[in-house]
Amino acid sequence: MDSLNDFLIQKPRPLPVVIAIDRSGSMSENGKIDALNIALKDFIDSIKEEDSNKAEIHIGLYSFGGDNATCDMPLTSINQVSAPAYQAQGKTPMGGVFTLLKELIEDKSLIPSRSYKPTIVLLTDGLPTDEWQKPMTELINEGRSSKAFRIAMAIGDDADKNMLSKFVSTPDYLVTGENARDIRKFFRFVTMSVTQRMKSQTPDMQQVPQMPEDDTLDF
Amino acid sequence: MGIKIEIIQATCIGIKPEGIPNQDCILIYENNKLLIITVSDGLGSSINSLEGAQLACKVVVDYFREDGQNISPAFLSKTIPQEWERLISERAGDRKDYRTTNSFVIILKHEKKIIIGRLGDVLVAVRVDGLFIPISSFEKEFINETECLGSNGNPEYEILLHDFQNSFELLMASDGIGDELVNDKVELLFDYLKTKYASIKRKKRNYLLENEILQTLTDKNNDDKSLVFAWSN
Repeated sequence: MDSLNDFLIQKPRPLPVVIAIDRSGSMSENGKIDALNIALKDFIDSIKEEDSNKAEIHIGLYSFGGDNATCDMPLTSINQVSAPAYQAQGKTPMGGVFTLLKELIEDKSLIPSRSYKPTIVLLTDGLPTDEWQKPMTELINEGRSSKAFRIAMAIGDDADKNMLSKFVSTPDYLVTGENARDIRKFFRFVTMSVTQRMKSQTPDMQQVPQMPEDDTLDF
Repeated sequence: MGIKIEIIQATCIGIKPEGIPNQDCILIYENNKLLIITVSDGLGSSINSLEGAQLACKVVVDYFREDGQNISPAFLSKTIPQEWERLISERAGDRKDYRTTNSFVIILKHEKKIIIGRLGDVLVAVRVDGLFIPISSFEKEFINETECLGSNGNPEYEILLHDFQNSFELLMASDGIGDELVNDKVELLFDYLKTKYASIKRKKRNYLLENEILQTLTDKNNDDKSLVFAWSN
């Protein structure tokens, strides 16, 4: 050991962003799942272009559909992330994804103490089909996970906006939308939220960006 | 014959916008009865946190310097925050503008006791008679999560006591260093610092330590950084 540097972690502090995507059957209607796949890819590409003095974005991808919730990609440095293409089918086991997110955030081997607070991004167009109340309460009210920033998008009239309003950290973090265009707009909002945190001197202060105007979208 | 203690210390401003000062503070006081080392780290989000940090160090030293060996640790855990609050209330602005963490270590030389106080994430670790005792800041939830003076509620110091027979070493570091230390290398850092700096002339030590800390500053690791290391001879 030749210097103090040999005793210090030589990586930037992680800023985890965990995305939980509804891939239930209803997401196949009106091109929603296709729009989501495109928007997710655009989101990852645009975050990759950002640089920060303070943090390195780590992305985790979770989804719920069929009969269960899954971890599709554990937290991974943004530079190594490539967007998957989701297919929509089956039920809406949202409670299952709340449980997985809780397990992730409580685990300090996966999100160490030197991380900034995680951001959870939830997109859904429907009502949960499994037991969700207890898992959501534990996620948003108890332990370490309660400190995460929580952003959500309710897609269409069938989304449970009442439930999602309780899920989000602040009312401004619940975005409603009707169509594919709105999904892309939502991901621009998430991009702005995350990049504002990256560039901030205080990344753990809650910062709610303005929703982008349509003419800022790059179609 | 009293115990002889060697101390190295340095504090360096991080990479930040012009006009924002180093918000860390180190204060050391020594007489023939005791040694007081205290380190504060003012919160970056509080505009007057340097003043808050300096006041916290001053309160600690003022409390211990006259009659340190007779003060009850339980009394201290609440009294230091109360005194800090009283001094802050005499100043302009809101108390949250002065938020700071603070840790201290008191060595009672004749009693051979070590009193450690921690409020927030300034790292303190000690090695007593060869036994390494990490008093970790690693248990915090996330990087900027810390208790502090000036926060809501009634923050109290965590107070720990240790006796020593023959020797001790102690490390204190603000979170710019403490949060970035590789967990299983902390004790090795004790060996490194003691071996390296014991062989350097005293008047050059702090300058060299400062240079060494400056070399750890990067775009990705740009907080204010302070470190104190002390060992008995």
